Amino acid sequence: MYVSLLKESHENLFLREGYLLALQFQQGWAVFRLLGWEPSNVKPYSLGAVAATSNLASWDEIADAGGRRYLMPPEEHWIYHSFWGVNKPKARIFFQYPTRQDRWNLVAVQRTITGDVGYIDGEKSPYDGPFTPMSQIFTVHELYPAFQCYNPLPDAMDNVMLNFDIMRYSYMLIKDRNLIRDILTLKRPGRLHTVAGIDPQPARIPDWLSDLVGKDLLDYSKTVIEEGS
Amino acid sequence: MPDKRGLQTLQATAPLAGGVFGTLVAANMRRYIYKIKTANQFAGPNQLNLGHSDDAGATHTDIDYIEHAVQYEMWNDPDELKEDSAPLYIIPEGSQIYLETDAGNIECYFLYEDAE
Repeated sequence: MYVSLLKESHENLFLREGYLLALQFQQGWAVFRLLGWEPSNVKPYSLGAVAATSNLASWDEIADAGGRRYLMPPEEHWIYHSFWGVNKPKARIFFQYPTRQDRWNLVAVQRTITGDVGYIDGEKSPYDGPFTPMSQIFTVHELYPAFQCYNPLPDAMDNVMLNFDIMRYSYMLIKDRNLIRDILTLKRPGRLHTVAGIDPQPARIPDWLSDLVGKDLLDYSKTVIEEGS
Repeated sequence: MPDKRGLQTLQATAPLAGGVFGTLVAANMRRYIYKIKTANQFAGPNQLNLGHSDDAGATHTDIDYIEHAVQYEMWNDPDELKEDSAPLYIIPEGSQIYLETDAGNIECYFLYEDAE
């Protein structure tokens, strides 16, 4: 008997025009209506060779030869939405978001980049897809992640590569308090997402976006979430 | 089942004296051997003893024997590796492949993947 296990494609998780998106930062929520989208990708992105039972020499911010980061929108009026897969199957990809902030810890002790905790490997998120929803990243201008790789095998990996599917969104910032409340209390369908994670805090909102949203609305959004009304 | 991106190759010359080949299988892993090809270099019948050892060859556990009747006889299994192929041999964690012949050298080629 053959059993087929079908995984939903990460492509179904991309948003479309008119969708509502709420991003949670440390200081509160920024709420957007998406105006347009444009797909792109980076394949392959080479992290290079990784020696047996070793890491990369440094964290990689996924940039081109000129140091321009692929996962960070170069302009303030775009949001990037990314998923990624890994080649080799056993290459363990660890994640900092924002840079220098380790994510996916599990116990009180901070996870290491050689251990069995807090990574995505090529079996979980295959290079050819579908990518795991755990690999989902939302980025805005001035906010970007960094990646590290650990090879747990006794044989060297000649070249560890990543495959990124990236959707670029244009947006309009929502400032209507009633609409914000309805989105955050799930009365209006929208995608709510905590940027970078919750331990120890979501990512700090970049200053330019904080100025755009305004402290009042950020505080209001936190009140709505806490009080649920 | 084998993942082409995770496959490793190993070439080894199996000697009469026996010995270990390849790296030590990491903790919580097994080495799944999906393909073996051998070629008898000895001018006469020669048996390859394939096993695993967790003490660098001082002792070993036999897994299989591959017979060669004449010089340059080859054993190639499977002819074609399929996506749903089951592994031929399994080397446990902390062990290495052990090879030994009962006459002269046998050249060996392996395709394997390390996984939990």
